[in-house]
Amino acid sequence: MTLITRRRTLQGLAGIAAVSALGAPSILRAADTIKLGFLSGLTGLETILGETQLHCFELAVEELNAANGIGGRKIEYVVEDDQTTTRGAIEKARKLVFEDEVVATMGMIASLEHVAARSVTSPANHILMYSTYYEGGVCEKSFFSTGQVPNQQIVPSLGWLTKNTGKTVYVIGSDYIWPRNSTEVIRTEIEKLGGKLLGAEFAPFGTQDFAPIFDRARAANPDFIWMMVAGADVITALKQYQSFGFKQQLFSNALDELFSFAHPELTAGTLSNQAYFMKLDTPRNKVFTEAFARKYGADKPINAIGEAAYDGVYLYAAAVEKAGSTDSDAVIKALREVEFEAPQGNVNFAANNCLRANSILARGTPDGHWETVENFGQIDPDVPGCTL
Amino acid sequence: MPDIVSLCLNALTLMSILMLVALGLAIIYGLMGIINLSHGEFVTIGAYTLFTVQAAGGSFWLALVVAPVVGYLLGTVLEIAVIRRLYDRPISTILATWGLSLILQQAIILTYGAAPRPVTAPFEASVQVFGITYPAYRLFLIVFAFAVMAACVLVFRKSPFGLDVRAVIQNAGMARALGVNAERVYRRAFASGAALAALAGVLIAPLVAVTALMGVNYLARSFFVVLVGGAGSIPGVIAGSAFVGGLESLLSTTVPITVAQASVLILAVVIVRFRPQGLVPA
Repeated sequence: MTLITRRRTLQGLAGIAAVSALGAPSILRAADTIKLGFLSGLTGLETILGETQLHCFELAVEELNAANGIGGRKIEYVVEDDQTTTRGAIEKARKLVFEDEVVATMGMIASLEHVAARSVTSPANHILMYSTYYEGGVCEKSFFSTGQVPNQQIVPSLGWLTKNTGKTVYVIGSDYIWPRNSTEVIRTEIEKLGGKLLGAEFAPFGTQDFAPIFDRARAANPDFIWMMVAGADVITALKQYQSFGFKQQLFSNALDELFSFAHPELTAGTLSNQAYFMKLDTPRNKVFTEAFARKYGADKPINAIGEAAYDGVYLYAAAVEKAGSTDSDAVIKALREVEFEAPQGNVNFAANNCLRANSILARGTPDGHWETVENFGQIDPDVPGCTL
Repeated sequence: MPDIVSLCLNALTLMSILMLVALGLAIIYGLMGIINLSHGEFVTIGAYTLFTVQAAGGSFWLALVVAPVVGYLLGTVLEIAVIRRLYDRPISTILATWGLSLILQQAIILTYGAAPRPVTAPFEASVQVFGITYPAYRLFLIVFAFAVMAACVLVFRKSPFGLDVRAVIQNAGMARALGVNAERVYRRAFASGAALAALAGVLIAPLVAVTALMGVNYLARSFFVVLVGGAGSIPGVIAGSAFVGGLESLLSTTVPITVAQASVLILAVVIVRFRPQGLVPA
């Protein structure tokens, strides 16, 4: 039995004061570090890709911290899993921005994640860096993309395909914004090249049987097939595609080392276009792939999404150093002025907040890598009607 | 004519996939009344058993034998450790099996990694049937699925184990009074359901991406199959799969596959509303 006395109350208050005093240095410490958020699909459809993206992000942070951090301040980070869902992306973006109070958020794979996350970050003027190639068209001050947009990936590939395989295409994709909007780009662009989009099919996430879609695609008899099935579903689609005996060239900008390392038998002979392939023969890429192999194992794949996430951290770090603060407006301005010697080559942002990225058309080899068919070089990103 | 053949074969393939997955659930949920939210993970375990066996140099056929054994043993352990303690608390079972599914998913990611695992089908070739070229493995899947169904119906109708299961489910007290070891029957029935899910995993693996989260795709649909077909009835699984899988496949030849899936689910809700006992009740 405890009596509440004035003396005890005072003791209690003193205790609280002592605890707050202990807490104060940690707030000071927080000011000494720079806190980044990482948000991606670590479970759900994009589990396969999220893990490597996180690893590349962590590698960049670790390298920066081992050097000088960002302008002498160490980087810490909070990792959040949005389960590859819109709801998850909104909830976790809110947590990162308003509870963890990170200065910028990076990551995301499927376009539904960046759409959902932007609904939180853009009104808050919070920097969001998206590292996956996507349908493009976003023009928001605080949104940066380090992956390819259609004129860096889809358009040059279409040019090559219509010249070398034929003029007609059939699109098979997952049923969400990335394949649907990209298909509209394909429709417009192939007509400019004198070709035709014969049809497009969109399958919901988790589709088990692609046979009805393949039957229709085969009946349309296109010159080549363009596949934009996302995440683990693309493996399901490829497994069934093979057994249906298509003779046409398959192009899929959803494919990279993450899929070809696991299933070289499915990706060999298919074409893809990415800003980065692991086999890229440059001294800078050698340093990058070796550092990655030391940390995560030599048998682990790296893909363009991971490389772009790695670039994003370095570009952000350079921008904060240039701006001399983590204030969003200052960093946004600086981000358009900095550049980074990335594994894919020297990169920087264009005025529309998209990266001047490479465009490499490559063919899958039986050992799970990709050999360059044509390197279109670095292309300026185009976001129609965007002035920032 | 060739169109109709491929249409029917596609419908039969999807139906067979659903039938195989839902069969285990028909026993666990339909007969025993346990809402097992970790059912999908037993499918995953079957698929990973195939990967492990093939990685060790074994054949597809060996995995087809090993996977049900793995599923059965794991099902037995689970029944003893968790399910048995919750027979009179169905709500707790939902929570426990849901937690279990998360644990199993992450355990598989920790063991095998997040990347998809390669498995190979026993035959890659396509064959000529009724004037069209169709993947041989799909034909095998269809035949095998119906054979498994037939075997299950026989076991439940004719074998002493089937008789015991039916007796315990109708009236556990009376069955006990007549000398049936009800606890053992429950344990074996649950383990059999898990074994069938693992078997389904092996059969499906060559057609889909083998990842730790693949089971998630099957859970909701299996429940739909069992509910629409008629809980507690094995022939109901055939009817339910034919409805959910067959109809989806047929519809998706004329409308987008997303619309087809949605229409089937709406129709399923209508059926369950007006025929709550299902298409072929027990």
